[in-house]
Amino acid sequence: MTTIRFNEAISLAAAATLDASLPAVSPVSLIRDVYGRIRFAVNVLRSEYPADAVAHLELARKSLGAFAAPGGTLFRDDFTDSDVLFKNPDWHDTIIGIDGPGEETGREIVVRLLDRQIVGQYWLRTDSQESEKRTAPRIVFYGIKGGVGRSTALAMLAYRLASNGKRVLLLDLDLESPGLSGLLLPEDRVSTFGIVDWLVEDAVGQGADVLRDMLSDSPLADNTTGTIRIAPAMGQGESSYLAKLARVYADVPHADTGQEQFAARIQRLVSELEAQEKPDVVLIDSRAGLHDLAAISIAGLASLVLLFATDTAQNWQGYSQLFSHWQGRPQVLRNIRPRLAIVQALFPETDQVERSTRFRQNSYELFSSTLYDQIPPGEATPLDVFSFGVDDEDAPHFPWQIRWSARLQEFDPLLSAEKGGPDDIDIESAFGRFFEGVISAAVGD
Amino acid sequence: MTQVNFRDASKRHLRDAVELQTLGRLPNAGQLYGFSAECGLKALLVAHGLACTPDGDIKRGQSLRAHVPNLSQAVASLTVFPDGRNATRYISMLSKLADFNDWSIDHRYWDETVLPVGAIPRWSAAAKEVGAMLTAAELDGVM
Repeated sequence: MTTIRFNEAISLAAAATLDASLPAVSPVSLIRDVYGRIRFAVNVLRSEYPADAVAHLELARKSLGAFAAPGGTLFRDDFTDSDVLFKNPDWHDTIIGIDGPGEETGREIVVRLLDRQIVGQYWLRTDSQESEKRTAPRIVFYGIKGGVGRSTALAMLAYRLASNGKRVLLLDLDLESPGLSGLLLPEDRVSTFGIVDWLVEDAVGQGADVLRDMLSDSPLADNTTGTIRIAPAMGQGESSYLAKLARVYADVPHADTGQEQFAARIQRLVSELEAQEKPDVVLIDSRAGLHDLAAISIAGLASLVLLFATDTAQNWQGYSQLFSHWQGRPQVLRNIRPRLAIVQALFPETDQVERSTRFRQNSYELFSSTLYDQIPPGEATPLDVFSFGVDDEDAPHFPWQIRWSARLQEFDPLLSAEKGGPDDIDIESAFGRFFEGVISAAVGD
Repeated sequence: MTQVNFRDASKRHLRDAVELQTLGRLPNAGQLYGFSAECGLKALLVAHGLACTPDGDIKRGQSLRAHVPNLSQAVASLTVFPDGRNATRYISMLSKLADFNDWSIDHRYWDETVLPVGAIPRWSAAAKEVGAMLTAAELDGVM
């Protein structure tokens, strides 16, 4: 008997739901537990489901080897309140490739899948975006890899917006690698509390008074008509950052609302800060990589996500994994893709035409193979199609460029131009096209 | 299958409690809500590694071998839970355990006219919350 691996198990289970002997009126769904083990669920009473269908599913479950979840198929009457299962918000129509024996290779089917995970659920939780009324745009700065000048670009955009008279709110959600406040605030102007303080204090019911002392003004906006208010990850003189950070991901019980998970807490924090600060624009420094904090920022918070990238294989591979995860859930895909925009970071000073063309081509290949709608040849194009040409400047794959320059390499935004800091010409030359793109897409003027 | 099965016993008591409440037989509905919560909490403790006898019961002499409300107080101040990613996943789903503070195992001896049947909606909500926690743990594959 061959060993069944993780990927094969879901493929076999999905294929089993297609069997002609199963009653079509009661579709079979899949539940995959935290270890990756799979079982079936049908939203009817057990007595209403034919015995031979039950037996078929039982055989199919056992064929999954080590990835068969203990316990048989679940029915409505296995629960006092079956809504806990069947109305769970984490069910997704999911595209699964099946290429088992007797199947043509590469065939894909859609099944309802409930994925129970330890982390990572937040990449797929995009629904809150639909209902929420947004007062100010939220722009998330994200990179699948770090070290591409994300925080610097954020600081510069904040400066530009403040120069335009905007009230800018900055949040440092890069909790495992905090540093935004160091870039924008002299140490003695950092606020008393940071975002980790709010998370630990709010968990014991003391969040409200922390909120008032977790923001400070960046001197970067001193000579502008706007303001830059910063909520740092850590407060001034912090001595227990790791002890607090180690607790922030806890789910918290609430007497009125039941359990509040980390993502909901972050969303509440951002809403409360917006209510308090009334910003025109919110800029969020997200954590890099495939981390829950990035997932929350991108799927749960952003109105615009800036995807920082350099033209390297590991960069495109990373984004490809993330985009494919969304691609497999069509509803999630539709919610998330209009918010994405790619930024070509560290755009080099030499061979610009060639490098620009190559980046755009690679970016196009990534987006068109995962996020864009495919229209089969000969079929009419639907009106609401999400599809773009490689040279379409309004397409999400068409990059806003940030030019690398030696002047900005060791850049201190708080240093005045007279003392060797960047002047407006440096800034415009490096960030001009990026500013234009972001402002016209998300802020307006 | 061991003789003691806290998870399934919790479900059974909850189902019957709902049934009795619907029929207006409140005193025993209230008792069963308490038993259901007790079994559900014990199932969670056992899933997290609490020591058991060969027949699946919690070993004697442990403070957690108790009925609610003492049991829920013990669980609320839990130190036996593992830390790490899962530490709060289930316990944070239990926000209503304090509602069993006026529940007593001795209610089974009481005269019907003095039983606190007004508390039943609260006990019911708290027991159903434990039931939802069990469902989550079961779907996760940890119970």
